[in-house]
Amino acid sequence: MQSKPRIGEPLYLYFLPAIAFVGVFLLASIGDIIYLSFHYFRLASPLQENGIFVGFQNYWNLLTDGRFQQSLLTTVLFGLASSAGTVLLGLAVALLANQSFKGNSFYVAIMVLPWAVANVVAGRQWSFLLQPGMGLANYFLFYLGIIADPLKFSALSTPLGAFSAIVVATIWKSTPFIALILLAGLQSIPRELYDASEVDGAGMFSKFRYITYPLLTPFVNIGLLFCGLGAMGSLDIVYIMTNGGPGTSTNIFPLFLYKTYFMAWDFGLGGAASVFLMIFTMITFFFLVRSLIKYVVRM
Amino acid sequence: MSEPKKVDRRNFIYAGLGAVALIAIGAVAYVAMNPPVVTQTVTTSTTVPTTSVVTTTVPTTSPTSITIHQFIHANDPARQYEVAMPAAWAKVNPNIRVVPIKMPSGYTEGELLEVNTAKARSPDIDIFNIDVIWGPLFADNLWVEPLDDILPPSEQSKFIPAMIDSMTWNKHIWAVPWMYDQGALWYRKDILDEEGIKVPTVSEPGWTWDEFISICENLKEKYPDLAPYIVDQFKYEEISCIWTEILASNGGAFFDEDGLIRVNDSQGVEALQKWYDMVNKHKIFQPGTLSMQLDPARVMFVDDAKGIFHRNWNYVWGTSLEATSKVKGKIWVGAFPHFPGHQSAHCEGGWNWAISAGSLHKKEAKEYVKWLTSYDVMKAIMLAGGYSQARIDLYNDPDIQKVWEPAGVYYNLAKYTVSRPKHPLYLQISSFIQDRIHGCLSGLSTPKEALDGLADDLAKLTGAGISPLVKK
Amino acid sequence: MRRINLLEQKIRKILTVVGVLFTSCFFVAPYMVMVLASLSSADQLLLTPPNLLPIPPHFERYLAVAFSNEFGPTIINSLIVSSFATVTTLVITLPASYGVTRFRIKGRTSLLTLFIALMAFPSVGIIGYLYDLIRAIGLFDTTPGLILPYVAFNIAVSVWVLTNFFKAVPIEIEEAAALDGCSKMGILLRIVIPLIKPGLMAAALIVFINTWNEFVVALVLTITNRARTIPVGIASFQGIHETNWSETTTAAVIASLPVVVLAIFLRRWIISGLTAGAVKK
Repeated sequence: MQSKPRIGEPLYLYFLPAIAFVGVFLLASIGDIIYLSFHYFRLASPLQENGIFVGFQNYWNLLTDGRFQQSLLTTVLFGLASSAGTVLLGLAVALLANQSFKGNSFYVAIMVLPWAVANVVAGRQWSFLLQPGMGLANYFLFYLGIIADPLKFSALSTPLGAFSAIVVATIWKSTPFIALILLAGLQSIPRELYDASEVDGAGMFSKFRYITYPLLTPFVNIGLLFCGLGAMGSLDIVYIMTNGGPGTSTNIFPLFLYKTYFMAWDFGLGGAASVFLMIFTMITFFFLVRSLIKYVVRM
Repeated sequence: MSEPKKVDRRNFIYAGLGAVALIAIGAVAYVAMNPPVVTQTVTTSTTVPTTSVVTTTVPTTSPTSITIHQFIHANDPARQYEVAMPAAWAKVNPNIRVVPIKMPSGYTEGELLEVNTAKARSPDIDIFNIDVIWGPLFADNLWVEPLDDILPPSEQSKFIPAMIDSMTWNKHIWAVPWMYDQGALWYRKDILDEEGIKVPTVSEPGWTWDEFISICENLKEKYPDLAPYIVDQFKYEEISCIWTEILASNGGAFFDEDGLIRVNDSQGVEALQKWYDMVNKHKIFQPGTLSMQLDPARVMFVDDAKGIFHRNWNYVWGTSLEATSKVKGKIWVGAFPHFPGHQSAHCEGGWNWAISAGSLHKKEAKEYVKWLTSYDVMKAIMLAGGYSQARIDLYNDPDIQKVWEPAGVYYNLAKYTVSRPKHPLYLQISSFIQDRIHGCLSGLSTPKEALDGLADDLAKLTGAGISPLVKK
Repeated sequence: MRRINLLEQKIRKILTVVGVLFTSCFFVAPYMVMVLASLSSADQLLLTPPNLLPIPPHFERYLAVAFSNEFGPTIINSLIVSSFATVTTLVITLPASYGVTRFRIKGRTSLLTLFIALMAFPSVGIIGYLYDLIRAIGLFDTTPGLILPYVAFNIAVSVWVLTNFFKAVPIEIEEAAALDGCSKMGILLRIVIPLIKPGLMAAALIVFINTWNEFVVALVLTITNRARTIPVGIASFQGIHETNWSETTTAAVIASLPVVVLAIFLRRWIISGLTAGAVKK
């Protein structure tokens, strides 16, 4: 039975403040961005007249730009790697934090540490850890026998090393957030289900497979969604650790967008790139989004 | 069902009270720390290694006084611009009160802040602090005022020529240079004296890159623990600086006299090839050079003493005298190598004061800037331990030479500087340079490919054509 | 069955211990390096090999930085901005998420889609517009001028977190209360909200941290320490060429402390053990 609106109860009031805020601050600027994306607007040294309507020229320039194409590919790979890593690690951490053991609170406090530092600080710390000679990561890898010389190995100097580094740093930074959501989700699963299943003879893994996993799925979905949609946040980390280097091998799309806005000062192209980012994200996460909406709307 | 209800409501009330209490405490503390004052006693902190402590009391400002706001760097050595200079100015002209606004200096955020303010022609800021590479951007957009009145050509010749040139656009001058920065070759004098190697100064014929490379390779064998040449080659603005230097040291340039692109001509390719070989073939740089930034590199050279040569800016001398330095008195500065038949090139850096177009107090701001960039004031700043200033004659001044020993070298160097490309979209040009050059150095493309790609990028961005000097 | 349980207990214990140790090390390592750097003499950790142990430890640096004229006010501002933004966001989104979950109204799906789309919002492009808007309202360089945009940015995230938790509350409880004559706002306030406390705390923590660490918007919308927040304050330790690493790391550690404290404090609320087991009455 769904709550039917009673006569006289102003339902729209529930949504009004939220929509008002969002409208004034966000929707209007999205409109501005979309408007600009169809015009030519470069803050300096324009090659055409500023402000003229150019239709889809910005979009075409964007899509045919080699840097953009490479950036897109890099971003997809980066997004897959870091989202998968974050959710997996977050799930592990949430399961661990859900156990009752001595020092449980302490573990939760530790778990929150990466989230407590700002992105910029996180990027800088990881950058230091990975320096040859002064960074501890090199010594750690050396003791594990993975690298030969801790004074010479520089992960950030090779494309593969730099990519792995930013993925690890992003996983480090985003896991607490996802773990927290999953943990709260785990907490909302009624104990009785587990107790009842134990009576039926379910072991650890069966409990996970038949109870935890299905009931946790919406939280995992929203975790994945947050990972993907929070892509803009990894801008700082990549900017500080590699600035898109070596060459353009870690030039993820948020960085490309930032440079288009604040180095090329091209608001038309930036608008097109922003619109592209929004559409691309929506399409990529279409199925996830749809299942989430269905989950909420379903009765 | 009723029990949880009562408990929960109480908990929420507690949480609310707690939040209110926290905010109340915060508000009280905030007011306590920022009391509305009429008189202030201004002192410099002791986190900076300077022996002078400036203590002044700013007199009560009269009701007709004007306040101007000035962007300054955060972490200002000896707090000259933050504290000392506004206090000294208050004695000269109490009716104009200067309020310094700190801008973050790193990672282009300062640029974002300033451009955003400039774009809006906001009256909040009167004096902008602009990098030498931002000149055309600000001038083209008329975000700043032309300063031909306070900086006529007779006065201009007293400043560093390259900086004056960078701030000249469309036949006007748009900012007054104040901070002078120069790329130069720092080295361990003690080690090189032992080896009998003499590093040339700017006015001498100098050595070629090949000579330099073979010296480095020999040193690498003799001193296996030290890196021959420490350079920060992270993918950032420094790459553009270094590339400008190496390119000019082979007589190359980005654009020719007609404004056509020539960065990928034979001289350019040869220059990049040499740089590539230094990184990958001869390996004379420190490990991880392609991902190391400026300050860690400087620490490696100064505090850790793990290098023989080091490419850096002016401030290295000051840091070598601090307690953490292991090379006090052991380092000196000289000229970069060059290609045979050409001169060595040193990249110009630095900052300039510009008057905001949206300012409501342009006249007063100009007065302050004129005073701030006068010879005596600049000398006082340098003697107090502040940034190196932009008037050439300062480096010939015996008082300064006593306090800052490399001054004589920089007096000669000032005339041999090269500038990065002067263009309103320089930041994007630099981004292209970083992409291509850093990619080449990392082995992702050959020098010819990289420079052809760069030429393409420049053509698309500026609309300029390719120079006939570039042979296919 | 007992034997399997015993073996399982052992495996579970070992997995837990190993897992906790590994993940703890992974999470703590960069943070610990930062803390060590903040306590060490300058540049100690930048040497090759790094001199890890801070002897003597410079604890006084924390006091000096926290009460300094440059950094101190930013702490207060951040506290004000983040607390108000969090509370306001929650107050606004609680009814909205509840409505989206429970009310069968037209345009529900569109509303939800809108809130998801807003999470994909590239905040880079909005900076110019936001600057003009806040200046026009006259809130430039003030804390409300930061709080309002932050609320707007965090509405989408908050709606989504809360929606999922509202969904987990069984409808029967609400039906029962409605039958008892409770108004919809009453149901929301007295029954549903207490049941989703974990979600509420999660949402609060998320919004708080997002606003605490936010940098670009704070940089552009503030100019003096009247309203500058911590991330901008930390950036102000950076000079043109040199950076005072000791002070920067100290400031970064100070910045992270409130969040850690908040997490510990809220942990009890999140792991309060309240479940939807109230179904059986």
